Amino acid sequence: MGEEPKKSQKLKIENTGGAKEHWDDTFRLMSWWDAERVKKAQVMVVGAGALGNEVLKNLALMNVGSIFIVDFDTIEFANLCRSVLFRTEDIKKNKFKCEIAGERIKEINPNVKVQTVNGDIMIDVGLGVMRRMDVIIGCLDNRIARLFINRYAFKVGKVWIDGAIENLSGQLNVYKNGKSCYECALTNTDWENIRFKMGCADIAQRNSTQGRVPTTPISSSIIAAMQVQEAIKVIHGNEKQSMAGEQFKYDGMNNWIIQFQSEPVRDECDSHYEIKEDELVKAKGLSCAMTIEDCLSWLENHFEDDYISIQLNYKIILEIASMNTEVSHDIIIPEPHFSEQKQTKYQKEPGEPIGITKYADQINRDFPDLSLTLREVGVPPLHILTVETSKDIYFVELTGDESFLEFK
Amino acid sequence: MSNSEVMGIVVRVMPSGDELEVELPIYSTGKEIKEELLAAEVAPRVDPEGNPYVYDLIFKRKNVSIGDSKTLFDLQIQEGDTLYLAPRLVPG
Repeated sequence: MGEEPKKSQKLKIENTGGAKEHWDDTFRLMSWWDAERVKKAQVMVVGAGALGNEVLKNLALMNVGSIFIVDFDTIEFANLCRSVLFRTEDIKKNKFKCEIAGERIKEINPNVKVQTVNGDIMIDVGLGVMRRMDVIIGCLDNRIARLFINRYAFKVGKVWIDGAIENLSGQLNVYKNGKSCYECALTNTDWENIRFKMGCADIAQRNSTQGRVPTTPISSSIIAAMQVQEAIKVIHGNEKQSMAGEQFKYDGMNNWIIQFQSEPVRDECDSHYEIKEDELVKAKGLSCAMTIEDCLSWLENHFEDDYISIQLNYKIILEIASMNTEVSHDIIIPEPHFSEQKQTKYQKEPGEPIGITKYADQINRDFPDLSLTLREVGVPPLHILTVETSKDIYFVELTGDESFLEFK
Repeated sequence: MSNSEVMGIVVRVMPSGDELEVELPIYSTGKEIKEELLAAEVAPRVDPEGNPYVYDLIFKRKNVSIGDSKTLFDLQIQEGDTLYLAPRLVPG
């Protein structure tokens, strides 16, 4: 028997100076848990549907400090049975999924800071925003968005964690440049589907689903939990135990679980180029609110070059025509924003198809209206422009938009 | 072994749960096997909305997917081994 503890030891009370308990006190009992890292982490969640709801709930519960939510959709009745953050009354509010989801996770954990973007990952989120994230989580329902996240995430050196569900099944992929790649694993069938969907002008058409593929809150909660588990490893810098380079498939109906190596990465894949820190021009003098004229002047001055061309990864429509009545119109609108609704005003007959007869995939001095702002032609805040000069290609971040990133 | 040699393997189909005993030439490629299985309608080619399913053929004992150009021989798959035919899921 050891010595009896002294009275003062028995009654030892820690003076906390009045500080409250920590939200994550239970997690702090885990030897590997780094509360500060998690609190400081910035995580992007793309898609606030069935999987997104579960991912967001788990991130909030795990006390992840800042969460950036991207989704373009509104809440429908069919979403309620799989979405822990949505309520029946939300349907009437006519608010976007990302807004409601953001509000609800703050109700779960008031420590969490949130920023939302109601838009399309392909065009509405700047690469500079992704660059500032610790990890990106994909909760998507289509191949195109996955392809673009893969390219963007790798370009700014980030790991992205992809989940997918159907029925009682689910799958998880952790993509890290050099180890595994969504684009490398695409088959001809995938590419045919992507090209077909890319032919649809606006976001809604590209992503339209008829709700006939069943998903359940069971598979979404399982896969989302694993996505967040992997995200927590990335936040902790735990590469050794990460699932990067492996795939996980789960079949709840048959109780089958398979984990296997991802397809090998190919040398000649468009996704693999990563912008190195010293290749990036952080231009505090540039923002997406600037006119094209001012932006081109800044770039000409900075690179001391009269030939400047900003390369785009989408098309800007410059001319359209009503296909039956053959009436053409000059317009300037990013193709992904040319919704069916916007097309109707150019139809001379009800339902008449509208064709694109002229477009631009770069911005230079020949652009038809230099007085438009970069934002008006589809460049999002904090984007990293790919700038071609007469000598080379450069990456220029609109660092003047830095205040855009503001978690609340 | 000659090109004409065949071996019996087991294919488990996700998510139907069907377990099939299949005789295959040892030099069958992943692509050929998947095509044979889909031609036999063991799994659907499209989802309920008409979008195409892409399948992985997974050799669980070695935790690898049999790539389209790899053969059973390449992966040293043996008589009685089990492969999983699993769709790559898209919805989220």
